[in-house]
Amino acid sequence: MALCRNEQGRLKLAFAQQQHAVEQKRVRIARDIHDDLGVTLTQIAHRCELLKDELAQPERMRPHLTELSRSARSLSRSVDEIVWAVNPSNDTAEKFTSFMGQFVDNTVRAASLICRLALPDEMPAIAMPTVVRHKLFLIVKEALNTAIRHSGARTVRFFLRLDDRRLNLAVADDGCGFDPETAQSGRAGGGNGLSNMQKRAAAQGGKWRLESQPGVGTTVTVEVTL
Amino acid sequence: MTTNPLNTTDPITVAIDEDDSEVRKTLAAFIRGAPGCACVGEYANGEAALAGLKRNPVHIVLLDVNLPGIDGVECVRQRAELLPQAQKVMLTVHQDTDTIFQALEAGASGYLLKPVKKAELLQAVQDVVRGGSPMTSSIARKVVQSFRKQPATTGDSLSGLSPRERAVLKLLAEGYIYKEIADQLGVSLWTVSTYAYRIYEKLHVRSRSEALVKYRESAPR
Repeated sequence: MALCRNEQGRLKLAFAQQQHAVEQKRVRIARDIHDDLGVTLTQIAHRCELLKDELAQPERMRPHLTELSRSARSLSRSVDEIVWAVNPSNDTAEKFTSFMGQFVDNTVRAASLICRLALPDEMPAIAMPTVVRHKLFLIVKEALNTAIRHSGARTVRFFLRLDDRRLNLAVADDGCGFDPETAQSGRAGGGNGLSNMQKRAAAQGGKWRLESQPGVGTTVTVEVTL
Repeated sequence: MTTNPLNTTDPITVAIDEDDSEVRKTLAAFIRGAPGCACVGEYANGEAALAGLKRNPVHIVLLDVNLPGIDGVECVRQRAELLPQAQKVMLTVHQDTDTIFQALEAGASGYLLKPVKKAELLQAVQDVVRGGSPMTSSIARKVVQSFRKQPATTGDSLSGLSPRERAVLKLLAEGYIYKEIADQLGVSLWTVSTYAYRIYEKLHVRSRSEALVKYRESAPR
């Protein structure tokens, strides 16, 4: 059946737009797979080579094997994160909350720190597009990594709250803290992570805030409207 | 639990139901290498396990969530009916709390995330046999939601649980681990694990009675 010319053009445009969006998502996933999996797989391959040289001395194999086991486990976690990110059945506020709670808990405990969560018992049935939840996930991941690696904190707290349609997330540590002025201008090192978080939040039309005080701790807050 | 192998010199008998042959072999080797444990059944799907376990009952079944044929959750449900005495421990690669929770509701008393460490698996076997259970913050949150969903008769939506169980559940949902809860409540680590087991038991009872109500509603009159 023939469609009139306008109709055909409109459909073509819509199709092209849709394809562009799908392509963008694929580029993003490809990059994540490379960053998360490619690097670790290369490390595993290298370590297997090293292991071959130690076959005569079993005791010298142990550290390599410990490292291999650790790498494989971390890969397994990364795969879970990627699968979670691309699976559209996770596009709800409830699934997001549940996953984030678990992710924060696992990450903080794996670093032998105390973890405290403040999540609502129940979340309303609000849709959360893949891109939004993935960006928020990356912001929280970055905030956690900064807290774990640089703050010397004992406890990391994670807050999630939904007021009306405003979703609020916060990662707070009781570590060494710093002067936000210095860090954000990039002089104190860790500036990259901070500007990444800020960019990601801005890309989703969200607000990102950093509060830190030397000797007290750091709190990173992000707010988006769903 | 009907039999407690800890009171006897008999080994703890374990069966494995897992479709990936490599994983199955590894788990079986873990169990065989543990003193006091015997691996007495290895099955590659739900149907074979249901038939085999009826002939050779065990203390613990390790079950993959993603089995071919009958899905893992349905498998637990059927086993809970057919083999109520066996403790069911789920093995899952999913960070998917929903599936884990459904399996727990259907009758499982614990779960382990793959890849499983040997020490973790053996600890879980000991815990489950002694009447304890693992529960993480994400599962605790699901339990709270699930109890909130049932019609509250007394105004308190967690009324199916004892005050101590509620306290444990609340702390778990806030991210406290067993050891921290034990310190806070002044009880042993073991007691906390037992509370978790009892909370799962109440979930099973609740989901069984819900299933019964559904059956009655759908039955022809």
